[in-house]
Parts: sequence; structure tokens; C-alpha cells
Amino acid sequence: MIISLFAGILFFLFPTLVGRTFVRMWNKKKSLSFPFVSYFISGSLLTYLVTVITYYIAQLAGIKIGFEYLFAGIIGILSFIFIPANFVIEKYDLKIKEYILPTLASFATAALTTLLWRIKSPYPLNWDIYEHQTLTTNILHGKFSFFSSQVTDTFGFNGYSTIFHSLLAASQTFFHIQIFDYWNSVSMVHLWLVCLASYLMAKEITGSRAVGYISMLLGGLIFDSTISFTNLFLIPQTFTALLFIFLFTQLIKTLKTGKSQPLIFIALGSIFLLLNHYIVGTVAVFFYLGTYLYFRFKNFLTPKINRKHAMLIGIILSATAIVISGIIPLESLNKGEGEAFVLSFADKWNTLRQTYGLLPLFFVPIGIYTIAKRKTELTLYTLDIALALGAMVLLQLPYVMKFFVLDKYFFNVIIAIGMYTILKQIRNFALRYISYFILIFTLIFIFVLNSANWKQILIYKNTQSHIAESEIKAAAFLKEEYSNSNALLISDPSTQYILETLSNVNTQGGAYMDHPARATLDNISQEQDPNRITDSLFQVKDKVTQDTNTRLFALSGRYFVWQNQSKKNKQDLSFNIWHTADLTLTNKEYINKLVSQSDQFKLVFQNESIAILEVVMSDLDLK
Amino acid sequence: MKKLIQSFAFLLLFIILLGISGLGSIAPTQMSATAGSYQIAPFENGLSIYQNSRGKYYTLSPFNDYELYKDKSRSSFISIEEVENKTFSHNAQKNHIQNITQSFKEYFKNDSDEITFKSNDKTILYTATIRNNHIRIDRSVSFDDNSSPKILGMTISFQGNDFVFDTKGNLFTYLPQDQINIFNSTFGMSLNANLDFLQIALLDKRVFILNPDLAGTIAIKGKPNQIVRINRDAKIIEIEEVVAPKNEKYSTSFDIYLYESPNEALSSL
Repeated sequence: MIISLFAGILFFLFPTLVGRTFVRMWNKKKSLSFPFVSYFISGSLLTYLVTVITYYIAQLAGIKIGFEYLFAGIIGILSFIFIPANFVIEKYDLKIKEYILPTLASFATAALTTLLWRIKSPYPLNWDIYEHQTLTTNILHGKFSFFSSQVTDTFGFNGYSTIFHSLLAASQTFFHIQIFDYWNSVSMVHLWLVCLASYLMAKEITGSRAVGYISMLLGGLIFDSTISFTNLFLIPQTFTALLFIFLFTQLIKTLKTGKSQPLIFIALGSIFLLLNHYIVGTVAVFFYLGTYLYFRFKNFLTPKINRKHAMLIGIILSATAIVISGIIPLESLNKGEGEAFVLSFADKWNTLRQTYGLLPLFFVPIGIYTIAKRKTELTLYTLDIALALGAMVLLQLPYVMKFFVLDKYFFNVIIAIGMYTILKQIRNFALRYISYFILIFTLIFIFVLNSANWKQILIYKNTQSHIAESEIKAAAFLKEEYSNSNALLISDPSTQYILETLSNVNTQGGAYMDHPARATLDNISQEQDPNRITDSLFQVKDKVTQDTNTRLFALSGRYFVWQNQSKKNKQDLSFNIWHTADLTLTNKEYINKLVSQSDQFKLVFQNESIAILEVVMSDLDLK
Repeated sequence: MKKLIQSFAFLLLFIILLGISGLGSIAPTQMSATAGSYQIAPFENGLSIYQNSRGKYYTLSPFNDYELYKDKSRSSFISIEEVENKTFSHNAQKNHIQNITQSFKEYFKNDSDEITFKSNDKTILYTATIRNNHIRIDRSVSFDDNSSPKILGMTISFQGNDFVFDTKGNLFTYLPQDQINIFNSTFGMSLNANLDFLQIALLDKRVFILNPDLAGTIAIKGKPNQIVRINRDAKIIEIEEVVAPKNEKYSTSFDIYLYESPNEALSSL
């Protein structure tokens, strides 16, 4: 467990230590504020660049050594060269004392949030960890590409490069990790950093520590539980947003002190954001570069721009875009999983209420009023970004809620300013502390209701979880017996998804099983003849991994619940059986029949929630 | 002093805004408590035991619960006429504050659930108190028309394709022999159909229910002073007892245990 927790910390630490030496070489003038973000980004890009170049050179040169050994070599060499150098290079003069209290308070907020979140939930609740870990494990087993869809067919399209997974793989290279402990560790550090980034950004924008701390509390305890998942889930989009906030804060802090941000680090930051998530990264880079250019040329721009007119034009354009996006036919975009993620205005309002309660209703107007009254440049600029990103979130397009992952930090600053506008009027020391206590209590209250809502579909026995002990045991069996066999595991999308990650036995697409495979599986439910079932199972093909003659048919409680769904649900990529289900007598009867009536099915494992059958190709297929 | 008054005023404003904000959150409307591999929650027709995503409900309901008269005739607590005329009320749909309270209770503790029905002349409260796989069902009835029943019956419904059996292996529901054979071979038991009577009282006051489409077994245990009867015709288990009022209320209770398998149920109970 300790090794897994340490490996989780290494995800952040390894690139930082590698990058620190690199940054010091490029930035001898020490002009960087918050240099840690540049250390991390530089180290990450260096690691990834070396990995990509090595992989493609090895491919071109036809080098026979497994890429897993080359990757381990890369990580080993980088560690050997760059990490010891940290002890000899010149240090930055950082005012560490200034950050001790916020760092500790961020940790406390993250720990409190995690404790509340994990009540009755023994395993991580981030459904996406399975696909990211599957890709990471594939990298560790020598399957690599710049394109995620070429490493595993769990990724149907390329929304990002494999940089995120390469960094995960780097931290796992030399350790035998427990997957859930590892993900608990990285998620906790991510949440900690989200809280810290929320503090630092708010403090830099407003100059107020109090606003920073309120923003930190909002960053930790407000969980955007639909689509964006900013704080509790570490995934490429949330990681992109976190790094963007650190970069944005670094930029404005540097510019505030009158220094200029070295272009090399602006370029590296932009490249990292883009590689980490093409869509969210593009928007993040737009605002990052926009901020740099605005502040770089503001003396030239400000006299020529009438702020009120610009604001009015912005509002009209945003409103027009929101209206048009709801009218124009976008069927081509609203396909597949995207179809399930077009939220109406009512849905978005309910999402906001579930996430924040009615906090925005009161504190956003107060915050805007205070910003408008004070007319401080940075707070006005923050408001502009919050509104621009907010307008994007309101567009009637699939996935636009993802942009809330960026907006949430700015939105929280506006709310924090609104709250502080009232709090600073409470001049009595004791009463002000009471009001902070009540604020924390309210945020916990909203968080618990939000979590209760989110977790209520995940009930299995006395837990609220995507997975159960019985499935972990089944995965352990598969790993022991079949992980080196190139067998293809077939089940309902959810069972495949979980078992592939935990056992490293390949499946066709995991939770993103393709439509023909779904149709084949659907037909099996109508089929009585074991030979035909066998034939159907051998029709399921993985497009990325080479075909194999061994099929494993995992008949789980989830599989049977999935088979009882409508054809539409079975074809829907966003539909899953989210919780474990145990086998019923009818399910067991089906399994027994299959095994007893045909020698093509061999029962190799069974417990209360899953039976695994090894499938032998029928004579017809062999011919 | 002025500073303190101002501080109090703004503290009050802050508390009001936070209070409204918190209460304005969306609360889950159908929270359920968990017992073993089953869940229990109030619905419009009573307190139901069920499994997530499986669509089969075992319900304690005032539509089936009854009082028994000297001439052995019986009437349900809420009659068909009252159901048709909708002259009863219930609190299955809780108000927003109740939903919030229930959500907090079940998020942290998961120890009870309840529902109240009110008809023209009765108030019936069902309470389920949960400890691991054990649910204690309490029902209290108050009669507003001063009637004083002598015998009251509690019921729990079952499904048409359920295996309903006792400790001796008597199966009291009609099921095809091949289904019984599958049950026997799967669990290593030997159930034998006992279909001589539409209603049969069980001497050891224990009855087991297994639905082929659910995972797990429901075990019902009556008290020594109760009659536990299987009513195959109405697809209900009846738990009947002679009652006496206490503080003008008639309180009765029985126990439900939820097991992974019939073998576990038989060996544990």
C-alpha cells in the first residue's frame, strides 16, 4: 500500500525533479514566479519527447527489444541524470513561509473532502480510471503510440495524446502497484493541488488572503458532479485545467512584479496543455496566450478599447451564439456518447443547483457588483474570463459542460469575492470566525447532498461503489491465469471495462465496445444453441490487438442485467450497469446449461457475482 | 457597540444567504437504506424490500394488512374503495426538508426508514430498523373510530415465481418440477412441493423466499405469539397476532433477515 501511495506522489514529483534541472538551465535570471509548475511541465514534456522519439526510432530501425524495456530505460536514465542534479543546482529564493499555511489548509480541505466522499465507498469512484489505467498498463507492457486509440481500443477517438498516461506509466515503472491505492493517492494529491491552485489564483487576482481561502474551500468542497469533475477526479481534462490555473497564476504574478515571462515557458506551457487535452487544452491556451498578450500590450490596447462597449459586444455575441447553437442542426456532432451530453438550460440549472446549492444566485451578483465598483484591473479581467467561459458552457452543444472544468476556478473567485464583501463587514473578530465556521458547515452540507445524489445509483450491499470484492477476485484469477495468453475477454461493457484494467486481459473496447460487438452480444441473449453462441463470440474482434484463439466469456450479474435492457440502451455508449450485481438462480441455471450441454464452454471460475467460461472454437470454425 | 451591531447584522445576513443556498440544493428524492444485498425504501403502496435494477418488490402494505373479526371475516386497513376514491394519504413523497434529513441519515448511518398512511379511521406507521442483514419491522396502528380489534395481521407480498419454503424443505408455491430440480441441484437442497392448501400456517414461524431473478434469500421470522401463514392465493405471507392497545396504539413487529443463499439462511436462522 505504501509503495502504491508513493508511486502516486511520484506522478507529480518525478517530472518536477526532472524539470527543475532543465528549467534552471534555461532560466538563469530566476524570473519565474511559482517555478514548480514550469518544473513539472518541462520535466513532463522532456520525458514524453524522449519516449515518443525513442519509440518511433525503434520502430523505424526495427529494434527487437520490447518497448517496455526501452521505456524503463528512459525513466531510469532521466532519473539518474536529472534527479541527483537537484541537489547541486542553485536554489530559487522562494518565500516558502508565505505558502506554508495555504499548503496545510489546502491539505486539510482535501483530506476533509476525501473523508466525506469515501463514506461507504471503499474503492475510487472515478469511473474513468479504468480506461486510463488500461492505457497506462499497455504502455508498461510495451504498447505505445502518440495516439491513444492505437494503444488500446478502449479509446475510440483521440481526444488527447498519451502524455498523461506516459507520466502515469513513469511513476509506476519500477513499482508493483495496487491500482486502487495508487489512484487514491494521485487523486488525493490532485485534490490538494486543486485547493492550493484555487487559493493562489484568488490571492493573486484580489490580493486578499481571505478571498484565497474562501476560494480554496469552494475548490475542495464544491464538486461539479456532471461531466467536468474538476476536483475529485484526476483525468486529462481536470489535469489540464489544474495546470492552466497554475500557469495563469504564474503569469499574472510574474507580470504583476514587472518581470517578463520567458517565452520558452509560455510555449512549453501551451504545448503541454494542448497535448494533455485537445479541446479543453485549446480553450485553455487561448485564454493563457490571450492573457499574456493582453497584459503585454495593454498600454497600447487600453486607450483604444471602450470597456463598456467591448462588454456589450461580448454579451450580444455570446447570447447570439447560445441561441444559434440551440437552433442549428448538429446531428453530426451529437452522435454516440456525445448525444447523452447535450444538456438543456433546465438541466444546466439543476446541475448548478446540485453542485453549488443556491450560492451563485446570491454571491455572484454581489461579487460582480464589488468587482464593478472597485474596477481593479485583474478582478475585471477575471470576470471577463468567467463570463466568456460561462457563455461557452451555456452553448447547446455536446460536451460544452467540459469547459466548466476551466470556468469553475474563475467562477469560484467571483463567489468568493461576493462572500468576502459581506464577511469583511463583520468586524468583530469572534463573529467573523463564527461566520467562516458556518460557511464551512454549509459547504459540507451542500457537498454531502450532492454526493448522496451522485452515489445513490451505486448501491451494492452496504457499499456505494462501481466495483465489489468478488469482481476484484475474478480479475486476480484472470491476471494469474490469462494475462500472458492474448486471450480476449467478452462480457457486457462494464464488466469488460473493469476486468480488463484489473487483470490486463484484453477486451474489445472495454466500456466502449463497438456497435457490431454490442449487436453480436445482444443476439447471444436470444440464442439457445451453444455452437451458435460460440460462433458469435468468435465474431467479436479487437481492432488494435492481434486476434487470438482463446475467448473468455464473463457471465456476471451485470452481464445479465445488461442483457435485460432495451436494444437502444445496449447500443448506447454512455449506458452502463454502474454497480455490481450478484448472479441469480436463473443466471446460474443459464451458466450450468451452457457448460453441461456443450464441451465448448469450460467453467474456469465462479463466485457470487461472476462466472468465467473458457470458450473453445467449434469444429465448424476450425474448418 | 455600533461595530458589534453591524457585525451581528452582517453575520445574520450571511447566515440567511448561506441557509437559503444550502436548502436550495437538490436533495435525492428516493434514498434507500441497505440490508444485506437488498434495499428498503418507502413507496406509494408501502415499505418495500428490493434489489437495485431488478424490478421485484416485497412490500409491507396497509392495502394488504388487516384486522380480523370474531366471525373470521377480515378487512384490510385501507379498503379497495378507499384506494379507488383516494381517501387516504401517505408520506412516501417526502417534502424537501424531509428528503434532506433522510439523505443525511442514510449517507452517514443507514439504520432506518419509515412511512405513514392515514385513512378515514386509521393511522398506520411502518418502521424498518436495520442492522447489517437484519430488518426489524414495527407497525403501529391507531384507530380513530374507537374500534378495538382483537387480532391484527401484518403482511409481506411475494412474487408468483418465488420459491416459498420452510425449514423442512416444504415448497408452498407452484413451480414446474424442472425449476425445483434446478433449485435443488444448485443449492444442494431437496425441496418438495406441498400444495395441499392455499393457506398454511407454519409451526416454527419461519419462512424463506427466493426469487429466481434475484440474488439472495429473504427469511421471515415470526414471534412465538404470532401465527405465520403463507397465503398462496393472495401471494402474501401473513403474520397474525392477538393484540392489546398500548397508549391507544396497536404495535406489532416481526423480523426479516436477508441472506446470500438459502443454505446460509437455513443454517443461520
